[in-house]
Amino acid sequence: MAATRGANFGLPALGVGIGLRRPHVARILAERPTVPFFEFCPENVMDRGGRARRDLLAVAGRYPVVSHGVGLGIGSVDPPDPGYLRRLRRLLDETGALWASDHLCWNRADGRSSNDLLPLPFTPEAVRHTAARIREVRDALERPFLVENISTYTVLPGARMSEGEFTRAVLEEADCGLLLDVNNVYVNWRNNGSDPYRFLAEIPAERIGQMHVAGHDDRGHVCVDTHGAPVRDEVWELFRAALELTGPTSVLLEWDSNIPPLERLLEEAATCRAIHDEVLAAAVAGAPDGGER
Amino acid sequence: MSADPAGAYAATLSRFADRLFRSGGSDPGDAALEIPAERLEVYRELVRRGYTSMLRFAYPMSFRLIAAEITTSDPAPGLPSSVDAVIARFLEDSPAANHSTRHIADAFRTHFDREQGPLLARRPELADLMTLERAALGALYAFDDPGRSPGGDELAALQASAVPDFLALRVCRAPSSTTLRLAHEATRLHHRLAHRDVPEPGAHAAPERVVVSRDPASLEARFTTLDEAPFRAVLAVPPGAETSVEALAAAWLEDLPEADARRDEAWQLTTLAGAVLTGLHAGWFRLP
Repeated sequence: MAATRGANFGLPALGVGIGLRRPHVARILAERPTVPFFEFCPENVMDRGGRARRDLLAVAGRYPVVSHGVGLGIGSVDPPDPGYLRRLRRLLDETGALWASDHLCWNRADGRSSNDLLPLPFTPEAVRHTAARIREVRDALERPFLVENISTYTVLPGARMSEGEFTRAVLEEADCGLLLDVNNVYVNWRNNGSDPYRFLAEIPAERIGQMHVAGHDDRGHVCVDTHGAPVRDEVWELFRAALELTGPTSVLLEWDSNIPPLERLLEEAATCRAIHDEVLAAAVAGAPDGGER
Repeated sequence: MSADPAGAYAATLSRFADRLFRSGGSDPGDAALEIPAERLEVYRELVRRGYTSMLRFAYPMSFRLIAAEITTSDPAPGLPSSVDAVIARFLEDSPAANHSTRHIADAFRTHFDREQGPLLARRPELADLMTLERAALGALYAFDDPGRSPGGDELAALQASAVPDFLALRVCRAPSSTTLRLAHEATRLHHRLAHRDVPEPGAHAAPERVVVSRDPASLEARFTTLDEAPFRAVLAVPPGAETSVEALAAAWLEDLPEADARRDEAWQLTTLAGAVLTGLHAGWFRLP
């Protein structure tokens, strides 16, 4: 495990960033808060003009940015739209995005778009298909590409491997990175009974290039991944375990619905940063050649 | 090259999609998916919510009017029971083929015109309101327009310029702008709904000419209603085209209604200049 710590899929460890949301843009540009990076959703701006695009380019001129898409549906049977990839590539170039990511999911079938992230079957066939698609996307974008483990509310029938084994197989066959969403690991544990620590043990830690933490809606019988609330303590605990695997990395605090004022978002990011720094300091102190002498 | 996705994999996704877009609760077909019915229902809810959020963004006041009409109307054959039912029917009938907001907005409009006849019959102004809001969505996110918008001082100087100088001015029509001839006063309707004032059915049943454009300063969509003569001055320049005011004047005069064509030259010049200056201010005309 120690050999893979800090590998970070070869990407810089930027610290704790936040998502770029329209209600905050004016203050971000005026006040320049200390934020190591912003994550933007390319679908809002990639083939358009107007204010959203102007705001993104202004922020990208002042801060490091990374792109996190929601529209590829990379495991869908329909092939990726070449026009989409072309426009995304152009936006990544324009913003200087350090890397791009999207979700390990599917989102359309037979000409119908779900506009949502749907679960892939954990089968060898799905691994081969999805990995091939990821390679196509990665080659088209010509920059580091990560896929995110999604939150799910069921496991599709016919699964022949665990989610962790499936994720590992896709990442290795596609030779791409993982955006580890810690909240999704927790949500899937609650919804499907999948052991989150087994998941962390099964995924290739050296391929984790970024992490997400977020809040969810616990309805008792099901946890829904809303990104609309503070991060729960149970998720922070899992985050600590994940950090033990990765070492210093880039972490994004997601808060996309019920968007709070910028101060509250930065406060939550500060909590995340404190945990990040505490875990990593403890790891250094505990290492054979680390800590005070 | 992707692996051939034919076979069990594609069939699994198709089966899931077939059930996902259905509404009306679980039925025996759900059981064939071999996943818990309540979990399939979570996915249905999420898909419905996602579409609702995007459609309310695309048609904010239209949905306000739809909700008001559904809430206040006596139950009648063919009327949906709720906004949720409107979205569910759309998803069952013809969901969008991709996730683009504009694509979803267009797919919904096609469906709505075809399937929600009783609602449109009660609220015929809804069709124009949706047309107006779709043009606003286009203005908001259109590709950045060529040229530039003049500032206040430059506009004032243009207004004070000599006639030959003004006629020599070159302008281009912003591709983000749309001209609409509507059967209802949709801009007034939009304004009232934005202030949570729901008009009686049939209100504002007077025609309206509107230019929807992107405000040069805020980059928000804005609506400008015009009389026939200045409206024709905008129509004389196709979106994206560049022309001189002199050429615009010639095309405009050629197409003026007879009554306006008989008016004196001062009126014609003032009307045209007013349309150009208003357009530069509102963002439907720009300087190359």
